Amino acid sequence: MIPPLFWALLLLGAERPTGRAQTPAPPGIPVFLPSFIHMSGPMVSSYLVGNSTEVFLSINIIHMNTETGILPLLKCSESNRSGEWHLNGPEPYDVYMNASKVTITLMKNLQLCSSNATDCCMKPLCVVETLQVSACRGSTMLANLLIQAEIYANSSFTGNVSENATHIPNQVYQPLGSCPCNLTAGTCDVRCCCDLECTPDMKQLFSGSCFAGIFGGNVNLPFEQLCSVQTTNSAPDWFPFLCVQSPLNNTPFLGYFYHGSVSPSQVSSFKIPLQTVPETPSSGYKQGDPIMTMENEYFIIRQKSMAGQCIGNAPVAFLQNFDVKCVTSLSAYKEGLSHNVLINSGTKGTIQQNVIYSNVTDVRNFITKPEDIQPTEVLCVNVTFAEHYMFIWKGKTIEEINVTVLLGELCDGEILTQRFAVNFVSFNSTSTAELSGNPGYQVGKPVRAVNISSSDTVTTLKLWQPVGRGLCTSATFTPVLFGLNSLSGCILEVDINEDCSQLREDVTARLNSLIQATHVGKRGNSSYGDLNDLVEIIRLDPSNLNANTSVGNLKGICSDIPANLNIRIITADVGAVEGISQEEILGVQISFSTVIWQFQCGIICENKSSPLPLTASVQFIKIPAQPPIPMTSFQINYTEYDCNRNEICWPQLFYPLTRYYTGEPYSQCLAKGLVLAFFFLLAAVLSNPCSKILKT
Amino acid sequence: MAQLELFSQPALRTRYRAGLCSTAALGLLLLWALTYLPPLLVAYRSQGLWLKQSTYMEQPTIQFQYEVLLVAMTGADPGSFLTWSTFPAFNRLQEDQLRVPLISTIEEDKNHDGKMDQLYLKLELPLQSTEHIFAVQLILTFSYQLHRMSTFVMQSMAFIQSSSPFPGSQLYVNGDLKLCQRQSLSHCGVDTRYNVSVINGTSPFASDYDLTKIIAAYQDRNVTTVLSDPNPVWLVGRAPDAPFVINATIRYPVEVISYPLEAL
Repeated sequence: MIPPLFWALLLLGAERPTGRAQTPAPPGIPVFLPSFIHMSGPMVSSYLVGNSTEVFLSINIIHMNTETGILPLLKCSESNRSGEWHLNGPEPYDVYMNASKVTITLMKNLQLCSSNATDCCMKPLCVVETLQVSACRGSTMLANLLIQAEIYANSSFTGNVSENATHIPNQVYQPLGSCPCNLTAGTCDVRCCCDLECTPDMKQLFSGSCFAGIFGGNVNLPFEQLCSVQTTNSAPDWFPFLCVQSPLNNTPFLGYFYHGSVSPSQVSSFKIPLQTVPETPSSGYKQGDPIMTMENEYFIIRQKSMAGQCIGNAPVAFLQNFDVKCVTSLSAYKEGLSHNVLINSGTKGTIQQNVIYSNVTDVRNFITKPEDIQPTEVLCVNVTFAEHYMFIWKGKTIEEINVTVLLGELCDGEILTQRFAVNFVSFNSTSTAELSGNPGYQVGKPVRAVNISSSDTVTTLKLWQPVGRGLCTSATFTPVLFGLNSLSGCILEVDINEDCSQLREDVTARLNSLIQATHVGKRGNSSYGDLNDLVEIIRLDPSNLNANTSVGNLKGICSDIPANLNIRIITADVGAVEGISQEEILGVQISFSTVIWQFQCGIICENKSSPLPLTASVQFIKIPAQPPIPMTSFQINYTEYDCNRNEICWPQLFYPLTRYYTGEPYSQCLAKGLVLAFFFLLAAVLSNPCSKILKT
Repeated sequence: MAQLELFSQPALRTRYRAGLCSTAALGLLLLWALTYLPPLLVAYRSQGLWLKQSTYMEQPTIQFQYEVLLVAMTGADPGSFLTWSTFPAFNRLQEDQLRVPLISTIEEDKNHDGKMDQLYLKLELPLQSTEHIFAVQLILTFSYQLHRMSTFVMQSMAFIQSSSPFPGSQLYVNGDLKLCQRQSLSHCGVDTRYNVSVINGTSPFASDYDLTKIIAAYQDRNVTTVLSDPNPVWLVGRAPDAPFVINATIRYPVEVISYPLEAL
């Protein structure tokens, strides 16, 4: 092995190749990063960073000039092979950084020579060579990559590694030990001639009747019932009628030491299972396959797992949408996968992510500042607040990936709620508005609503989604979902000096802001233009409300405040599509119920504001499409034929023969019943009734 | 015309006969019906003529499958947790949060009847002196077999969860792995519909290790096992360099199993 000191002296004297210094090259001239590699394996790669148009690479083995100690620099030539060295590249790697990947491979068999073979390594230190990879444009040399290769021969053993543990046979039948009849330690076992604890005198006592077989013990003695054993002399009279034709290794004799106890089943223990390598998709992605990058690794996005913890290394499944919110802080923040990574489209094509960066507009949605605001300067870093990935897929491949990244500043001590969303959109999909079912409504989808008279784009009925303290002034809205009875509300703070009629108007306006629509779609796929597809909302306005009949001029008390909104939606089953029943909305009714609001005083009435809770509730009432025939009270109380409500109903009198008995298949039941009937018939016939009873 | 013998007295050598279509024959038929039908009706209407279900007792053959999934919270921040499992795909998902514990187990057959009676598991999770454990979730999987009536084989789990506002030094769990039946098992045949592993250990996706999904899919089964320990003990007072210990003793008791009766 060449001492490193010698190499150090050599490199000091050698002409420094371009690009080895740390000063950045001017833009346009490509450089190799790294520009010097010490190679100890058969493959190594480097990156050519910079403008690499019309640049070709060549590889050459160079030999040191032993006199001067200087490495010669070769001129540009076009050769991507030199002896056993192959050069691959440049391949585009990172478009953003203008980087291409260059790979140098040694195509030589690195096995140690066993005999006089040629294509192998003679010595353990197999290859010691110096290579130069040059990047040239025309005849000008732009950059150099120097590789010092010191490759040792492979010292792995040749043979198969078996994953199975050695199977030790059951010692009762196939003892491994040298003397299976040596059962007791410390004393001589009688009739065991291989027992070392037996003195020769003892052995002489039973030497005539030792256990036969190898080392005593497990042996298959031919027993006298075997056909092969019977001789004509000692054969019994019935030979060969009842003799046993079986080979000796299939005998009922289990050995001298079989004691008949049941051994417990195979006991397992902690296994070291094999780690699966992610497979590259070659014929496209199926639903549920992990999406791979061109580097043969999983494409990862931060996701939630286990008990709500977020993990960064989680792969994304094809056609599986998700939307997660992860809480983190500056100390725990970890950047995700770079957006420059190229994705495998499924058929080994490369997809690049189209990234749009933008800054966060409303920081309050993401950041929670701590209670105590420190006046001193804290460390603030630019981090990713949210990422939205839209994968456009077609068939089994990914066509495009559009990413929207929201960036913002996170300071020390603040808590950031990151949001990661992935959506898979079909290549052919045109409309972005989602239907709530086709044709009937699906449970959990928003109720479709429209306001005919105004041009506002109202698409759903809404309920409050309270935020923080639950005040009406800060509440947001959430759509009413079909099939889910809901209740929500918010708190309105009312001053003691509030005028009652003004209060009523305010409350009514707030409740009306939830129901801005006039019509509701009958079906999940109702179009907003067709009136036949819509059902008008019936409003029952609160019975009013003459301003004259207000309760005097008492301050702090108001009656008839319509503070509760009730939405009743009447639905029915109107048919079935492929066996699944479809639901439609038949009518919607909105009504208000009133409360009396009174200012809550303590001992003294201070000038604070008192809370008035406003609530809105949605109730889905399912009515049968055809009303059932009303039952008489006799029919309700008479359960003799209703086996669901009566244990001893008449249809179950002969229970095993009826369809109610599900313990056995009906065919078995029928067969057994017929056999019983046959026996009865047989008994009846054999007792010869005709002769007894009928006498002419 | 055929005649029916109604009554005979051999000693007096008298025999009474009547025609087949006579009133006496009808009366005989009526008497025959009254002899056989009313007892059947009375027996049926007084409840219990046809028994539909019964129970039997059996100690199941339970074996610990040596599959463990552990999640331990080390702070209030959701990102501060330690985890480990016997599934390499799960361990690959975790980066810094992976901490390999020391696990020792003994599965004992105390009465030497060939069926295991108890599992003793001790898990030691190494911690730095600045780390404290506040909550633990542990999943152990077992293979559960019944043989006396139908051959019932399933993969089941024991889910241990405990949390405390105080940093703990040890969690002590001692309970039985009891069977929960929502429907009766059949009286014969092979039933392996739940012989599917509880956690899909080969999946690379994070959502397959979501505890809510694992438990939702497990509770969807009609026959499950549950670890019945009403009071796991959370011990405090951990020395700074000592590991967090989980001491679990899980017994395999004799179960009462309901099955439908075969009427024929």
